[in-house]
Amino acid sequence: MIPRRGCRRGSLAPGLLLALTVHCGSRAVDAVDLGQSPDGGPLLIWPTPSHGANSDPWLIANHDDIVEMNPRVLVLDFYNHMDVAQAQQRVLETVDAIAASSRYHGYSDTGAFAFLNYSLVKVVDLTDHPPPPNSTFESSTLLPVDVTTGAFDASALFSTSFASHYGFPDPADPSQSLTLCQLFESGTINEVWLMTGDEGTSRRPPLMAESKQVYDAQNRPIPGMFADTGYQPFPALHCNVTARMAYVSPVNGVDCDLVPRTAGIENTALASPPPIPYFTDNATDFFNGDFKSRDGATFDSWTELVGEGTNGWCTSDLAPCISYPSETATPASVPTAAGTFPDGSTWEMNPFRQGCGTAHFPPNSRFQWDYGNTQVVRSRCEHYGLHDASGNDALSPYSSDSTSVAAYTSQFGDDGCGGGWQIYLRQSMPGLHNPAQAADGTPMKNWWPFLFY
Amino acid sequence: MAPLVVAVSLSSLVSLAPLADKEVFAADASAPTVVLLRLPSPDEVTTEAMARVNGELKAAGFEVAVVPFRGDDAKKDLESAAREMNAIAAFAIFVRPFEEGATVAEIWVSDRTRQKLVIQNAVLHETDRGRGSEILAVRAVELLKASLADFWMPASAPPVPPPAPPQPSPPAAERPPTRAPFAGGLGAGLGIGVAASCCSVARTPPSWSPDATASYGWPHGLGLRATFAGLGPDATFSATDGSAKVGEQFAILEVVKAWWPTSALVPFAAVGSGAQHVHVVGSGNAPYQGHTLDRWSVLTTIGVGIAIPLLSTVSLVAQARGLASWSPTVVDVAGVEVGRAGAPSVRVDAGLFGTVP
Repeated sequence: MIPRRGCRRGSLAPGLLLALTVHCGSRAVDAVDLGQSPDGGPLLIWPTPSHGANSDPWLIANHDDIVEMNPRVLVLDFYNHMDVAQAQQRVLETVDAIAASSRYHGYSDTGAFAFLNYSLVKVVDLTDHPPPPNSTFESSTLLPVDVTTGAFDASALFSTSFASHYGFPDPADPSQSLTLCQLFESGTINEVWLMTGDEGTSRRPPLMAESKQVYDAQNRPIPGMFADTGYQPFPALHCNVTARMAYVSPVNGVDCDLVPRTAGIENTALASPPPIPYFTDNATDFFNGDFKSRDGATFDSWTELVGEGTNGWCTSDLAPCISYPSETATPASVPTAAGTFPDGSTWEMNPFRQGCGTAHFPPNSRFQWDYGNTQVVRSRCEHYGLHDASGNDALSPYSSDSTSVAAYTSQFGDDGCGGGWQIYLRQSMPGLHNPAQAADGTPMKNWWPFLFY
Repeated sequence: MAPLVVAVSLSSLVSLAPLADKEVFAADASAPTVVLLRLPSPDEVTTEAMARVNGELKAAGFEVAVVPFRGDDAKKDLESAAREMNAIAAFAIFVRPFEEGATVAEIWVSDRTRQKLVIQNAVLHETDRGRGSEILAVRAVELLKASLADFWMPASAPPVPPPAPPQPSPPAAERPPTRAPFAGGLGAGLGIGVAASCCSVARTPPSWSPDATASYGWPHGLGLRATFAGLGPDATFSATDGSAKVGEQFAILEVVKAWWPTSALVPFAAVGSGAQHVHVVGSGNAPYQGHTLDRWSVLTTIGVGIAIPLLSTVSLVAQARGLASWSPTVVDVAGVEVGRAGAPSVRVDAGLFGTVP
């Protein structure tokens, strides 16, 4: 690639005829660029100046040529116990953790680079200056709440009245401010993150909520159709593009910020009807969402199994409901999972060739949120879609004290959310340059761009 | 001699060294002249001896001028006759009676090259009667050979290029320096140069590199010069998404014109053209990728310089060149221009240049 440069007369001193002549005929060499896609097209970084909004058709059209995503995130800081600088620092920790988690097979490929690098647009200071005396809340008085219940009111964030807090004048009418939907639709932002505190109360926002544009089997958007695919319900409204909001905990570690974000991805994959059919076709197996069809179980996922119980059944080591009898056998035998239902009856999946897991259920989980189990259980996390064992995905051992998982736990912490597992899970998701095969035999698409479809 | 040495080539110095001792007779294209002083009424022996000496001198490649002896002062007459004839030496034989019928002949040779007068006596006895002229001639020729050894050629050899006619010798300090032309003949040099872009949009730091030169020049100051420069450290340009190392080499052929090529300071100008090679090695921060690229451009140059003769064949040369390539290479990192190679620039060189003896 040796483009010839046009003449930029304004950049040279007048009278330098020689310099001018030479300058006009200069040849540019790209010593560093993004390279080319297999079909010879340019590789890309999203967003571009003209294509930055979620659900932009450009994103779908160029999905396979994107080598990095820099989603723009707006942070709304309602947490009174931190100043803006501290809040921003906390946000950046989550940004870093997400970036690390987007390194495809980063646990075994030191050269893997972070695909998902959030760009911080602004931290909007919505804290009280000073907080009212005798306030019992960690969050500020500006936090929008339902006047009746006192619960966080996410829909208020989309109102015209709240728009002025964001500080983005409407280019068409500078006396007005862009609303949250307009910020999404213009591509000014791709996500909004909230920091409130009050995490044990209804004042805390949804940990992750998403209103997602729905696509047909050919990846064409279905006009006006949006799915609630987040971890928790999105307000009863939708913008004209996918809108995403998530929580940043000022009191817990980044591991707990990753859980709802991953759960939102799982819900996108497992939602019915599928908002992105391609993603559902290829990710359901990974997230262990097809036990019925794959393993002959009477439930489709561990979440569904645990959901059959009540009063915290199978949510702690006091009431485990899953075991892996094959994994203690020597030599290793066909992987098997077995367990009980809430009524005490038993179930078994044999063979049990699990995909990888979910944010709540690592491959060796015996109950929900079982992040500390050191028992080695085999899964396809590291070989998902590779078909590298006689046409099947090879199995590899997983335990919470394996080298890579323990290292990530040490690096990103474990505030009860299994930082090591959260990173390992997300790095196992087919990312950039993955060599996996999709269900239809074609090269597997990178999953991360689906977040912003 | 020191002032001369710095200005001329070794070959010139080698040839000039003896000439300088002879007070620069080399410029005269005619044969060296020897004056024979003829007595007013020489005897038969003297006449015959002078004739023999005359013949020997001519056979040895000398011009012989016979001038009459004025009879005042033999030494003064010899010196004035030689000076007037621009001769390298003057010669005379004076014969006078000696005891017991013998005669003594005084052979005078005034050697202008050495600024000395040599007188040799030869006694001719009665027994030498009949061979007196032969004896005198032999002794005289031996004396002349000793005095004019540098000019005396074997009789069978062709005449040597004549020494320059003697000129009045100015004091040494007033002698004009005689130098070989700067860069005359084959020459070679090594130097080091620093180049700075004058017109680049991007920040392009100065870079240095060694250079090597080979040339051929003519005495009047015109010459051809080939220069190769490169092998210096690569320039590194960094940006957010990566960096690029850029190495440059160029080879140019120039026409050089030196003014006053034999002076102590020799100004010169050069204009030429050649080729520039740019080697770019990019290194990208993921997801950016680095590429290794090579580009060639036509390079034009114009410059001026000055040479200062230092040693016999070695000069210190300093010069400044304006360089421009067609077309310059713009180095981009992730779409951002970080530097240029071949943009109009000025290169300042300093080095040593020597001619081949």
